[in-house]
Amino acid sequence: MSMHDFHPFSNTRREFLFKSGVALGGLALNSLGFNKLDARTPDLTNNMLNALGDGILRAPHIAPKAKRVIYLFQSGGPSQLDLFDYKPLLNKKNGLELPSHIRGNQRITGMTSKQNSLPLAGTHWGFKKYGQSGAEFSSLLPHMASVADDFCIIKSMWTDQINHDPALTFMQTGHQLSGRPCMGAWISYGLGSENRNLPTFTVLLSRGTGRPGGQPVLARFWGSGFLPSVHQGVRLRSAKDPVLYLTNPNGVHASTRRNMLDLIKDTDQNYLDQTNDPEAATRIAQYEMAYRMQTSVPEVSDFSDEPDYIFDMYGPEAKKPGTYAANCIMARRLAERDVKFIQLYHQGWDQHFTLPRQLKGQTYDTDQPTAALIKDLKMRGLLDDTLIIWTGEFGRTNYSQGKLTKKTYGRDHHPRCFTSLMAGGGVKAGMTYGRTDDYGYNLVNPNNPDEVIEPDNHKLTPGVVSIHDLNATIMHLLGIDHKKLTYRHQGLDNRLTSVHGHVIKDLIA
Amino acid sequence: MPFRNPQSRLLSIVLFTVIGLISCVMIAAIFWLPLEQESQSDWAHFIGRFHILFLHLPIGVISLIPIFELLIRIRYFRSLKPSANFLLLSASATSLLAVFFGMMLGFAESYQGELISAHLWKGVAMSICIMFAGALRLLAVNEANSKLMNAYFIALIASLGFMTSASHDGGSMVHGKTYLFEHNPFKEPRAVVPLREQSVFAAHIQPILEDKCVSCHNAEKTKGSLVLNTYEGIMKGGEYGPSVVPGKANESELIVRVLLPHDDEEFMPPDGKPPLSDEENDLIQWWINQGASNTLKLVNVDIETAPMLLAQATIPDAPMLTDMDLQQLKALESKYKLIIRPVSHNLKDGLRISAINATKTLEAKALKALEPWISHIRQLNLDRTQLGDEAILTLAKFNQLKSLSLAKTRVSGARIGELETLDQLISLNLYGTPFETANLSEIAKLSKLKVLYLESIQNKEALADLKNQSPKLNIITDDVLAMAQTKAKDN
Repeated sequence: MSMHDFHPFSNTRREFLFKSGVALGGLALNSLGFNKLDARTPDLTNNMLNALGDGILRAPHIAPKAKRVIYLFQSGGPSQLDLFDYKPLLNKKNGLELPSHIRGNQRITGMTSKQNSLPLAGTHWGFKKYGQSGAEFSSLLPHMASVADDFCIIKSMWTDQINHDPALTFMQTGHQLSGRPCMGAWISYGLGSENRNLPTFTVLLSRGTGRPGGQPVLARFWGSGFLPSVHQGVRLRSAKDPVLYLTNPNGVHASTRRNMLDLIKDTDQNYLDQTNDPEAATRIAQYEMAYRMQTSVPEVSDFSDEPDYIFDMYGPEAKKPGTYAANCIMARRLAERDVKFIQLYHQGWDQHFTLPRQLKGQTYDTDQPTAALIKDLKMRGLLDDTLIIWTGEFGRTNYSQGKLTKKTYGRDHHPRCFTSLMAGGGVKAGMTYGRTDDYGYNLVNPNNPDEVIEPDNHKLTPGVVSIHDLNATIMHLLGIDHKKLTYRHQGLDNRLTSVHGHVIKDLIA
Repeated sequence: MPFRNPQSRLLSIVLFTVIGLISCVMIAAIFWLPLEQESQSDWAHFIGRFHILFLHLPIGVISLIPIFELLIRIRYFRSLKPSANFLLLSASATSLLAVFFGMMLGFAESYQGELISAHLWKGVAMSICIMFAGALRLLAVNEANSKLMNAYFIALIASLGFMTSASHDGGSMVHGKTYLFEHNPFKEPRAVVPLREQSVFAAHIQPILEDKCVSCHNAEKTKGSLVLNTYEGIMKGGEYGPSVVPGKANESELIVRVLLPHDDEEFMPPDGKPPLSDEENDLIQWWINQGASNTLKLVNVDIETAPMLLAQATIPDAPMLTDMDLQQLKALESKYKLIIRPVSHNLKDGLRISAINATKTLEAKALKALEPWISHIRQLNLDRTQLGDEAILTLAKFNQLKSLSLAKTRVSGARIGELETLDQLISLNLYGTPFETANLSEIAKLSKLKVLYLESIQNKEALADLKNQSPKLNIITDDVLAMAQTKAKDN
């Protein structure tokens, strides 16, 4: 929202006093480039960027590879050991106690800390290598395996959060405590929007059949934090009305609605002129967007122009609104309309118990549609500039939570290593990055599997990807230097990657 | 010399003997000084570096003395006269100090070439002259003896002359010969070599080295015995062995040094000097891996795999967008509901245009309106607009386009061959268009095209033909649709 940023009276009282108080010195400092007081002011020296650009950055810092992001968030923590990270040692040592030298001083959750033993649990599914890249997938993911060469699989992701809410908040906002803007909001703030009829940042939720009552997903995961709230994600519901209260009620004509909106706009504009409250600018923008969405949202959610073979491609659930499959089709349609950041949350991955049964449901929900989405974008020529991310907030343990029986087992949260996948958008396809130890518990040096890596946010460790590194890399693929997209709040130049984050060049084509 | 009395005679003998001795010592030192070696002694380096500090003193004082001599002719400044001897004593003392430290520096660090010996001789000559000047003025006893005063002036001017010349040489040694007049506003602009004739080494590698390395690694000042301003010098290497191993960038000392952490002792360029940028490092590494040739021409490079700096060099400079241009573009944006944005902060990346907000209304005349800025437009997204084949003729003018998307438009492919004028076009998206297979062969005319998107191609022969004609072209069609269609046929 650029309306606010160039307002001539864009000053708080504090700023005004400060600026006038150090007037002459300020003039000198100004010309030296120490104009840090208002970090929201872009570099106005470049006329072209200023006139034609959008968002606070006006344009990406470098030519972007990706123009859109489809973030397929698998909420709950998918079990990498049963899906991507093949560890036959666990099957061999099934039932044996987790060796303490492997565990080290990793903290475990309150749930498993009460257990008498931590028995290693081998996976119930077979793994094979697929495609020319030889990427490993379990038999639960035949469809994703069929597009193996399109994925960049990161096996050495790590986080320091052990529970859902902080872990999700950390992944989305760069810090485990809430209050900061999430990635989509940063991107909307940085690069502005393309399609003026649709929100820049949309969110779609779906429930998992594996564990329908899974961990909740909160609206603040797509919130704008301290950024103007125009940058928050707009959730499109799966019901008949994707956005509540969007359509005109019976008896209210389009022209009546327009008159009402014009009146509200005048009132808000007056308020904005007097106070320069960014929320007033947001309000005006949102009302106008809502008006345009009255036409655009029904159009994008009306799948009647999709041929049958498309629904077949996305699987049997694709025609049911609100399923992950239907959301993937919606994601593709939104991508076709240049919506910049499309985030799907698929819940139910938190397999603490009865993993074998639950995981089947979860993969039934997601395997075919994810692969279909990739194929679909590719054939439309959209895959090269749409970045797809498939990830959870952490991984799962190699030992069983609850009783380990022949039939069933559970896995607890495991932050120390997990797997994420990326595709499209400039990512190096057909590769696997990073490695975990044979127990699937620790990160190891990919060149020397005997060397366990203790990850550290402060330095770049080759072969290992922290959440900050992932976020920095995503920003880089969008052409944004993660260190230069900041917002001054409470005296700090905040950014998505906090004071960390390295772009992992090996992941980039 | 006509001296008034025995005391001044004695004084003059003593003075001239002392000065003579000091001069002989200095001159002898010049011959003895081993300039081309680098000393291992830390003391030598430490003391030698103070030359840079001390040299400013004699320059200041010797420059002041002529002004002083002029000023004291004015009545108002006559009271300054007595300080003459003090000034000359300071000048002499500081000159000697500067020379001493300078010799220590010459001993400590390695130097080659003419400049260093010229600098050395002139510095010593300056000191000798100023000492004589001082002695002469002292003996002239408050300017009484006019012959001595004349001799004094001659010695003073000589000293000033040597000083100017020596300090210019010194500056050239540190900053390079061209430093003083490099940014002369009246100079001739550097001759631009046309793109076809540009050699990768001369036009792209050498300028980087000249900018960041040659000030210390040239014929006159050869740190580490390394000369980097000529191709032969680069290939020869220096004290630490060859700086470039053709084909192996990571074994090349040149690369090893610039890729070290910036606070490492061995990092090049050393502190204070601006380091090479990431893009410059990438370019030099690429050049070494390609064989470090000085005959490789830019036109023979595969631009797709070349580093960014080279790829950008091939983009012809588009005229800068003026404020008037920007206003007009913004007007077009609102008139035709287009999105016209810079691709990135690097203005050389050009503009991208999208009609995503104008799918229902866009007409070919909007494209015509964009013609004045064709040289800037790199990406064009016209998906789902109502445009058809009539737009192709106008599109054929956008010769800087890298990617063109016409998905779900009405383009049937008639005259698509006209797009062969788009010699930068890499990606063409015709997904969901009523594209007629008969027009497929025209696509072969698009010589640089790397990827083509079409929904389906029923005619397998035509597809095979196109693949033969354009082996580098990746044709992506909807396989799933193809399967569904085959299924439907079978049923």
